[in-house]
Amino acid sequence: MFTRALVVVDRPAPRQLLSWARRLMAPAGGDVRLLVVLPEVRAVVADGRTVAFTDQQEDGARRAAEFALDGVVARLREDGLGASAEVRFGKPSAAVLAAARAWRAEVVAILERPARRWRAWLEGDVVGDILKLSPVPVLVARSSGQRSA
Amino acid sequence: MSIKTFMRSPGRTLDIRDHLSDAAREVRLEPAGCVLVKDRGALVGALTPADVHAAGPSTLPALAVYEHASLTERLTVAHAVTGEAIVVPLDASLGDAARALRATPQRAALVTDGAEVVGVLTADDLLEAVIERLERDGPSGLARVLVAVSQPASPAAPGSRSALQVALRIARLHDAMLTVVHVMPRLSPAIAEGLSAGIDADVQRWRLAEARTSLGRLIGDVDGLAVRTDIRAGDVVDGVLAAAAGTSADLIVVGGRPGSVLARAVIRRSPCPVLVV
Repeated sequence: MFTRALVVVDRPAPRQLLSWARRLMAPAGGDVRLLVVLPEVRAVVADGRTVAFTDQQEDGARRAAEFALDGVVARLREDGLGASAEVRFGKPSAAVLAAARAWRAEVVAILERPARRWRAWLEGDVVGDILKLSPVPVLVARSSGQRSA
Repeated sequence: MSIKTFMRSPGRTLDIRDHLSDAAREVRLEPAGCVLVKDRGALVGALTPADVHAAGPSTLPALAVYEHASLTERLTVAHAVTGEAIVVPLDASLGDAARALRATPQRAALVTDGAEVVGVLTADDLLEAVIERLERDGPSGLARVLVAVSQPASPAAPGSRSALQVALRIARLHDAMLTVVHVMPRLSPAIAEGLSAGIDADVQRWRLAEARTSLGRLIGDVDGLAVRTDIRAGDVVDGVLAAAAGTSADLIVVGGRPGSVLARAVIRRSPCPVLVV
């Protein structure tokens, strides 16, 4: 059915997402790509001097995110799934959709967290935007009050 | 299952004399969910949210009134991280790490590769490993899939049709029981349950029979797959959710993108993950 699942990860240990990926892809196997979207970083300037450039900041954030996902990728591989991780920067919904197209994902899996009003205003409706614009089916679970897949 | 695949990256480092309120903020902001603690340059442990919670001031308003701010402000990291640091080598087993943590009040162990600290393994991480083991030992795949189908009589419902096709393929692949649910908002609940419903009962019975026929046509030949249809009356979202709860569905499949109000409403209250097609 689905052989290429793009799993959007927003926490270091996405237990629910891993359960979905395993159960949804269990009979046929396939590839899982874990995607982390980080906010765009800016150069750090102190006293008019640039202390850290954007690419340095991004490299550091990317390395930390990749380190956090290494274990998850290894665990998915232990289950016989092809697993890889990708880190993107920018607006979450746009980055997820771009990654889905670029990787030719067949399904996008995402966790919906209850957002406080100010956070929802700040970040927008990420799941809603993805549902509206995704070229492929979207699997959504809530972070609480729901059993894993 | 090794320590390496469950440990967290060591986050930033705090001093044991730092205020606990500052440390709580650092732990909250730290993506790894815990921070290392040093005393005069030497690592003495790791601080987790559970440590902060256990040592910090009461979160209960009724008790907090008895805790004077001038006293709670004196709390430091040392009040949360007590005893000797638990150190486990990278090549130790998860069982060894669990036994080491169980023997002490600490909630996190430092993972070392030679002399270098390469990660932190918390009680939460060990619990995660147990959950994963249980899931692997349990049944794999999906056992019960539910698909919500709208307007079965109408040929102009491509969303439903593709949701149904996706659901049929998933059910076939997983050898799962498929429930096809259709909710008729204007149908009498009594008629849906097979009871008499007054003066327009015949019309309603005719509508129900039509829906059943259309649904059967839509599903087509299922070739040995276990499929049952469920026609309900009333609110569409409530009907879909009740059917999901009634069948203990592992997955709900709905159509109707983009931006379907039904899909969002089902997602918000669903007892299981929802696949929006």
